[in-house]
Order: sequence, then structure tokens, then C-alpha cells
Amino acid sequence: MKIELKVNGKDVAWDCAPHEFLTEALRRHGLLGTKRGCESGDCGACSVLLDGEEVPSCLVLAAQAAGHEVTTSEGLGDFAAPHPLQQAFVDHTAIQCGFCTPGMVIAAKALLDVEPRPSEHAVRECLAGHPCRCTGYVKPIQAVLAVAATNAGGEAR
Amino acid sequence: MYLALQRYSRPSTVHECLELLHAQGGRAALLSGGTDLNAREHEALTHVIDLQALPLAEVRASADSLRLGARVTLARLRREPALARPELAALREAAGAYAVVALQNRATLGGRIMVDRGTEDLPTALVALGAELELARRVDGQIVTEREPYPVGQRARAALEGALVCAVVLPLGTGRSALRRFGRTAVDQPLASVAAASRAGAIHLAANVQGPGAADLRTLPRSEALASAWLAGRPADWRAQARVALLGELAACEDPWASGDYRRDLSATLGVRALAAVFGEPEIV
Amino acid sequence: MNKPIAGAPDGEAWDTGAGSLGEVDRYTAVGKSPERVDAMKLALGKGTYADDVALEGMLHLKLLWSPHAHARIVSIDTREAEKEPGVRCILHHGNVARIPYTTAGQGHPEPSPYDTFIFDRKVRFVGDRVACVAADSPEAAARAVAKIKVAYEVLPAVLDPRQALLPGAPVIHDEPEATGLPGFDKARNIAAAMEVDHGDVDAAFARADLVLERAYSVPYQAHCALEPHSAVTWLDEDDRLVVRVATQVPFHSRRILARILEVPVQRIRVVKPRIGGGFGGKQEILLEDLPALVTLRTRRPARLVLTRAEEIVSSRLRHPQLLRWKSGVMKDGRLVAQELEVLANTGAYGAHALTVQTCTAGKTLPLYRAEAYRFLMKTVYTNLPVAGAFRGYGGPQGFVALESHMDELAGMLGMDPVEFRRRNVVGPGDENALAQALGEGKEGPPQRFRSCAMQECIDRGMAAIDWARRPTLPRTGTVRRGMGMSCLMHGSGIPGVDMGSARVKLNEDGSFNLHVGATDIGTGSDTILSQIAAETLAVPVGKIVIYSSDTDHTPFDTGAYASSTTYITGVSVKKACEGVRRQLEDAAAEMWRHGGDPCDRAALVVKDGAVCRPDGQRLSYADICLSTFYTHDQHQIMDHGSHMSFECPPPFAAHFAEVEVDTETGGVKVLKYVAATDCGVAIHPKSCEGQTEGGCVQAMGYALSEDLTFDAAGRTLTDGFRHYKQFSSLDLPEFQTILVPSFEPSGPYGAKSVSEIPADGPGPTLLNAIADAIGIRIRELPITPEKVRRAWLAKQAEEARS
Repeated sequence: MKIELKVNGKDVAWDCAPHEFLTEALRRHGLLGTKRGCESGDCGACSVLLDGEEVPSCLVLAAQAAGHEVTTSEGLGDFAAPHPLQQAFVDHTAIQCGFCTPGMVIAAKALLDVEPRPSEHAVRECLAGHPCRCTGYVKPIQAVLAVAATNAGGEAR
Repeated sequence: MYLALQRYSRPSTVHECLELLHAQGGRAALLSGGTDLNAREHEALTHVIDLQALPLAEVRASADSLRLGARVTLARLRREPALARPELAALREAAGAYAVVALQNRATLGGRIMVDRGTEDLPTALVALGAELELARRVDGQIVTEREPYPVGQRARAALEGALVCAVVLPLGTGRSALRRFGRTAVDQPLASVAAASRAGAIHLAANVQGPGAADLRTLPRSEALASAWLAGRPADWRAQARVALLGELAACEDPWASGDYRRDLSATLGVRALAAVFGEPEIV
Repeated sequence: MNKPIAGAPDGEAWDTGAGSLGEVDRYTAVGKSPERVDAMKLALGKGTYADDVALEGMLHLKLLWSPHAHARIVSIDTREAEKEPGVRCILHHGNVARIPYTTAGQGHPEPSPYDTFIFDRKVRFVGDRVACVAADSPEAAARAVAKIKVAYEVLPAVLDPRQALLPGAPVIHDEPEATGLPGFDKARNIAAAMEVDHGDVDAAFARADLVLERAYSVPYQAHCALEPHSAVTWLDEDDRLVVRVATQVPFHSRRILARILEVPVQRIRVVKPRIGGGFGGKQEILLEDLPALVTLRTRRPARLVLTRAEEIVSSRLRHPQLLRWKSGVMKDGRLVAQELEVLANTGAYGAHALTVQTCTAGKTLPLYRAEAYRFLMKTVYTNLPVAGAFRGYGGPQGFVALESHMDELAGMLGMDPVEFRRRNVVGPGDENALAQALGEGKEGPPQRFRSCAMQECIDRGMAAIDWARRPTLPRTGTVRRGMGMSCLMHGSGIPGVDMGSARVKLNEDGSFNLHVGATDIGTGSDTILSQIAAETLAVPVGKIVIYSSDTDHTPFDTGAYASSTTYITGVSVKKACEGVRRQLEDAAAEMWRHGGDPCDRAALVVKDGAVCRPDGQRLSYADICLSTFYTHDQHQIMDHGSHMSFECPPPFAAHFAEVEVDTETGGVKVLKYVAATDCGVAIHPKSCEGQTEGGCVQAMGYALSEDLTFDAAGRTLTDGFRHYKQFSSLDLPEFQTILVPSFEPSGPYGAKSVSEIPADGPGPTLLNAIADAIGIRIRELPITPEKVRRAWLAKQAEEARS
């Protein structure tokens, strides 16, 4: 079936099987920042923004995303202009194996968009869906809080 | 994971939705938030009916009731101004206790009600809060919508078979409620979940405890009666009395994660704490 | 100055010179925390992992796993499966060569039993391999798997290691081909066994004023690396087999694949792309044999990626152990005898069955001085999922016993647990009493501790947690608090075994290509090795272009395990760079001589990317390279280095925790955790902190919430993250990492290892803190709420009786 949606700001029309999950459709189109870690919504490695909200793309059929707007980690920044969150994860050594990182960045972006100056608890809650066996969360939390600290009150990034 | 899906539909009316469901027999399923879509038991589905286009995401408050559309997400329940009342605290707490942010963004009220196998906090809260369900069914080719009390006990799941949950209706008044639940980590299905609510001069209690064959969402009438009498004033040992009463009517459901007697003991503890919260007393002494 | 004689047969130590902490201040690249060389591409989500390639015509593999804990395969009928559209190849025991091997990714010869076959006529646990389908799509492969008909003769299964040892127990490895090291006894289900006495143990116990003996139990743990095991294989334009695999051990993978696929090593190229975490789970030749076989048979690219359930059930786990610890101590607090007995469960196959358990003893027993030591060990087969390497490699199990025991001993003696440890713990100059007896499947080299800042770790940890508050914590009422601590040590590489190598060459912009066999699996080793190169060559880290782990293009390395990469490969990088530095100086001297302005070669130094003379003249590396490429004395400036160490300097650590126990629910909340670690000079301090934080949080889950459960038939019930609960960011306590400096003379720029020791601490530290809070000594992990609550109720009942 043909589905029309907006991916990282571009209108696309993709051929997808009815059983194809959004994770697969994104990866099939070269958006490899969306990872497969559990395929049951429990690891956060496949998180994307769907109309600005963080969702597990392994639990969203591609067909469900038709008519909506999807943002992946590739849509946030690139080498020339990384997103402040991507830069902060790099600067805080918050990345070890990196497999969870795009999902964490997506989650943090969704949080900061609605709550530019979140509490540490809110940051922990936003990362709670992103089990990370490498970092122990200390530095990812620091990275998100560092970006939040640069946010002027009320202004979303 | 592999899905045998061959067809995806996105009906825009309840009528169309139930017609599709009827036409497909057991091979079709309603798809709301999809948070359990990739579960293994869904591998054989051939048709999903996506509810996203149905007009079921409305929150409507009147003087004495609150109607929550079935498509309201748990994330929205957490931040919905209409829920910012002490009497609905249990519902907010239940929504916030569910899984993680990304799943709260997807999970819907109706969806969580339909998939509950004694493992959810939300039904616990809803039952204690006296929720009724607006259910649409296809009866003799006609779509019939009825409001029914939230089904509890062993037959609860059967009562929802073939129905579409359209909305949850909560009575409003004054009072307080609390949900107390316990998981092994901060992100875990509850080992036990108990809710208490004061409403119209009485206490209402509900518990959800899981276990093989004993998925069990239940009310706790004897404990409710005892606790209702304490609304005006409580004996010094009310916690101990409440604990005994709760232990007397809680199920001892065992599963690989907790034995039956621990789970019952835990549920009693959570029940006492939920009551304390409703009474405005310290929960832990 | 330096003695580059690593691995010299006489065992002489390679030292970085008479180093001391004083020289660390002069380092320009080491001891800093520059941006990790791979961080940005990972932050951006670039496709760099094994499964991030999609090749034309690629086949997708799915496995049929055993539904039985123990069964003989009577027949396999694949006719219906073959009819499924898109199916290209089905592999099973009937059409794959039967060559015994071990999946353990260890050096040659592997000290693990050869008890595994690509496919066997028998299945030994629920989740064992039965058959594999390769098809055009994952869906077609899955449909075909469901259509394979297998007839099994179900055999009695044994799930308890104690029962596996009993006469008449089902024999799990009854195949004639299985072989193992001395102690291996397949008729009794023993995969490995060992008995070691050091000193006169019986006499020492006889002399002791007090003897304490306690039993402990530790469970399975799943690695939960977020990236599942993944492999993609293809034939390159020269018809050679390329294996792109998520592995910690690319060179072992090549060697073992060559043997079991019966393909010469030279026909195989193993490429390690970015790895999404390993923790030991990828120190295993776990899955690449299957896509490789499919590619060899079909000549098409092939891909196998495990699902999360397959990861948990059918990859590898931490060995569960039953431990018995016995100590003899004098009334003045002096330990005289230590005895450890371990009964370990390796599951259906014996990957790492011997060495994990020898490390259980090797990391723990020598931590405290005693007159005599005894270690008794059996690792047995059961019909449960397979254990293997897991961060800490036996240490986390052993420290649960040792450090619980030390607290109990202190209590018996009426001593403060910290003072009791201080009194007995080893220090600089002490001998590692068991180093020789507990080698890697053979006698190990003798060891003496040189760098050791254990006492300072204790001091700083106590200060950070404010240990003085301990007596004042609330210990009445429903919710109680307590503090606990533990002392730890680990190792740095496997002495006499681990070898790493590096190659460095100069480019005409003054940058360097650094090629290493070392395998960065998220540890940061690409960055750390780049820092060592930058330090040695006196350039910024950004001038180093590192490429790691590709058996065609990088030199050998044993792999990312045993806390070895910084300590072993780091020295190989330093050696190679020192060679390049000498060549740079030679070339510069020659350029000046050729230009009619000769210099004193011995007075040259390198600084800021240039060779400098005392008179201030300098030649940049770029100019030197351009000259040696194109103009004069033409040659490529490059060198290589290899390193092996007979030493294994332990990092030391003291961990402290404050917990809160809810006696009504049994819930334990970790409020604060302090890890003070002596890892020598921290090459990249932020990464050392990250290793510590990650390792500790991983082990907090092991201690409290990770509970792998099985039904009576041996099926894993916790086969997903929804039920197998690791710590989340919300469970993380307030965490403080302290890096306590020391200078390890045998390490690169004073460094030791840091990656495994954090995993050793939380188990015992939390057990001790809980005991402090509620006066109940739990001796079993995981410390589930139910166990705490039951123990509490039992204690209440007992107090009511008395």
C-alpha cells in the first residue's frame, strides 16, 4: 500500500506492506539512526517523533503514520549542524556504544520542546524508556540538563 | 517481529469500524495505541482496524461527571486540566505509572482497558473511581451503545468481547483518591496495584493482581464497608484492622515474579497506604 | 630508556620507565577527556553497526529453536518449509559438518570444552539450535521455520546443578567427540573442575581463633546489550568470505570460523563495525557461522540478527553459582585462612566454564592477606540456557561471597567492617598468592602488586558517603536506612596470553593512520588508543585517524575482554608510536644534514607536531613527510608494535552505598552510591567515570531486580525487557565516581584497567547496606522485595517467640 507522510520535513509517498512497522520503513529508506533493540516498545532505541511526540516506531505500523509527520535523529542535525542535544551528548561523554543515543536524543528533544527547563526528575523520567547498559545514565542526564540550562525560560528549541 | 497482516483499515465512524470487525470474524483486531501490537499472540492477525480517525478523543466535563473518550492517551490523562482534582488523583497516578513516556504517548484509555490481564494500574483506579464504560456493539446488524458499570471479577474480559469501548464516564463530586502500586523497578508492571477513593460518604477500593488463570480485577466490599465507617473518625489501630480486612478478601495470585502470599501481603500494604492517602494520614509510620 | 621487550620469554616486565604520578601533569593528551573519536556519528545516528548494511540479494535467516530442554532429534522434515516461496537454504544437523568446537571467543587453544556443534542430533536446552532457514525476506524465513517438522525423543532433563552431579542424572554431553581440559568429566556433567591449595590450609584453620562458614547463591544475568547479536556475510569480488559481525573478538572469530566452516583463514575477512555493547556476550562465536554457511552455499549475502527474546534465551548469560566461603581469623582481626568452594552452572554448553570460575577465585581470594588459601570448583552442565563471559567474569559472583563474609566476620569480632578490611587488605609490594595456580587454563605467571591505592579509595569513599553518619541512620519504623561497603580488585588483561598490536603511518599533513586489532565495543578504546598515540607523537588527538578490528587491514589483537585493551593494546600503540617518533627524528636529522645544517640527533625532541632542535629550529611532521615521500631519502615513515604482558596489575576499588528498605513491601531503594577506583592513570577520565557508572548500574540490577526465571520444563519466562528488569534512569541513585590516581609502571602512561571492576561491587555493597539497615543478612541475589519481606516477617516471628 502507498502511504503518504512527512519525514524529517519532506513529503514522501512510500510503498509499505500492511504489516511493516515504521522502524522497518524508516530503515529501508536509509534512516538508520532508528535502531531495533527489542521490537516490543521496551528499549527506546527506535524512538521517533510522531507529530512532535516521542513514540516507539516498532509499535507503530507504517500505515498508522500515514498523514502524520515523523522526525528521526537524522532530522535533528548533521555533521555540519548537530542539534544542541546531539552536541551535548558528545560533549558530556554521554555516548559509549551509542546504540541507545539517537533514541535518548529524540526523547530529550520531545521533553524540551514542551518543557524547556525540566527538573532532573523529569529528565530521568524522559530517559526511563531508554535502558542503557553502558552509561548508567549519569552522563546522559547531565547532557540533557546542560542543554536545558541554556534554554531561556519558556523558549522551546 | 513477523506479522501476518494483509489489511489495514482506518474507519472514520464507529459504525464502519464495527461492521469491519464483524465482517472479519476473529482474524481482525481493533488497533488503538498499538502498545501491545507486537506481542507474540498477535502474529496470526490478518487485519487491523485502526481507531485513530474515530471521534473518540474528547474530554467532556459536566457538573457531576467526566466523560473521557476512549482514544484519550495516558500522556494526556497526566496533564489534562479536567483531571486536576484530588478525587481523580488515582487516575493520574495510574496513567503516570504506565510504562514509559513513549508508550504513554501511544497508549489509550480504551486500549489499556481492553488488554488488561490483571496487570494494569488503570483499571484499578477506574473501578475505585466508580467508572462506567460506554460500549458500542453490533447487535443484529445495528450498532447499539450502552453505558455499563466497569466489569470486574473473572468474567471481566468476556464482558468486553466484541465491544468497542467508546468512552469512560466518571462520577464527579468531592473526595479524594489514591493509587498505590509496586513494581521491581521504576519501570515495571505492578506486582500489585490497589486504589482507594472516597465518594459520596463512602470508601471504594479496587485491586488488580495478576497470576496465571487468576487475572483478577476486583472490588473489596468488606474492606470498603469497614473503611467507610472510618471517614468520620478512625480507631488508633485502623491500619491493622484494615490490613486484616484486606488480607481476608484479596486474592493470592502467584506468577513467576511473586508468590501468592507475598502478593496478597503486598496488596494489603498498598491498600492500607492508599486508604491513608485518602484519609489524609501518613502512609508510612 | 624504555625496554621494548614485551613478552620476552624471560618474563621481564615491560615498563614505561621510572614513571610516577608527577609526570602526569606534563601529559598533553593523556589524562584529558577529549571528544570521543566516534561520538558525533553515533549521536547523529549514522548507520555504523553490523546490521546497518542492506546488500543486493541478501538472504534473511531465522532459526528454529528447541522447544525441549533435552531431546534427541529423531527426524527433521523440511519438505513443506522448502516449498515456502523465497526459501533458498535450510541448514540442520543432517546437512552440516559435525565438528566439535567451543563458541567461547578465547585464545588458542581455548580453555573451554569442545562440546558444541553447528547443529547437533541432540538439543540440550529450550532455545538450542535445531535448524536455520535462509529466505528472501525475514517473513518468508519465519513462515518456513514454522513449517519444519521435527520429531523429538524427549529425554529427562536436569535443571539444578546439584542434581546434575548425582549418580544417575541425565548425561547432557553423551556424544563421544566432546573433550575438555583436565577435570572435564562429561559422564558426570562436569564441564570444568579445579582444586587448589596454597599453604597449609588445614593447619591454618586449626590455628584460627574463629572460623566462619557461609553459603551464598548468585543467579543468571542477561547482558542486555542494546544491539542484538548481528552478522551480515557476503562473498567479495575475489570470492572471499566477508563477515561483518557484532563481535568482541574478530580474530578469534576468523580462526574458529575457518575451522568449523573448513575454509582457510586466508579466505575469510572478519570486519568489526561499530558494536552496540558487548559486556562479554559478544566474546563468543555465537551466530556468524550460520550466515557464513548460507553465503558459502548460496553465494548470496546473508543476514542474521537475533530478536530480543533470542538474545536472552539463546545467547549467553552470567554463570549462576552456589558459593561456600570459609574463613579463619584471629581475635585481633588478622585473617589466617580463606577457603572458597564454587559450584557453577554453565547451562547446556561449557563456554568459559573453567576460566570464569577461576576468576571467581583469582579476583577475590588474594585481596586479603592470609597464610593459606583453598579453592574448590566444579562447573556443571544443566539443561538450561548457556552461560559465558560477562563483565567481571566471575568476579561479581565471588565478591558477593567474599565481601558479605568480611562484614560478617567483622561483626563477629566486634570490629568496624572498614577497619577490619583495612587491616587485612593487600598493599603495594604484596604478592598475589594465587596468580600461578589460577592461570588461563594453565599455570599463570607470578604476580606482585605494584600500584595500589586501596587505602586511599577507602578514605575518599568514606568521606564522600559520609560514613560517619552510619550510626545515626534511622533504623526504627517501617522504612529504615543503612550503609554498606566493599573492597574490590580485578585484573588488567590475561597475563601471558593477551596480545595486542598496532601499526602507525605518517601522512603528508602531519596526521597519522593508527591501525589496531583492538575492538571498541563502546568502551572508548578507539579514543583512548588515539590519545596514547597523540601523547607519544606529540600531536593533538585530532591528528590520529584510527581504524580498528578488520582482520584484513589491522594487525592482530586477542579482543575486547578481560579488561585488556588499554593496558595491553595501549602499550603496543605506544611502542609503534615510539618507533615512528624515532623515524621522524632520524628523518629530520637527515633533512638538516642534507641541507647543510647538521644537528645533534640525540638532542632532538618532538613537540607540537614537529621535530625540534635545542636551537629552536623545527621541522613539522608534514614537511618531513612531504620530503620523505617525494624529495629525499624517500620512504614511508611507519612502524608497528606488539605487546603482551606477564603482569596483570589489578585496579582496586572501594564501593559505598546508602539504602532505604521498606520493611512492609520489601522494596530496597538505593539512595546513594559511591565508587572510588584506582585504575592507575586515567587516560580518558570521563570514559573511566562512564565505565564505572555503567558497570555499577548494570550490577545494581544484578543485585536487586534482574531475575531470570524458568518454568519446570526449563523454558525462560523472562525473555523480554518487560519482565527482565534492568535499572532505569529513574532507579539510578545519586552517584559519585571518584578516580583515585596511582601510577602503574607496567601500563601505558601509568594506566591500569577500569571496565570490569565496577561490576564487582554493587552485589555485596548492597547486601551489606541492607544488613545494616534491617539487621538481616541476605546471602542470595537477586534481593527481590519478596525475599526481603519474607526475611523480615521471619525475623519478626522469631523475635516474637523469644
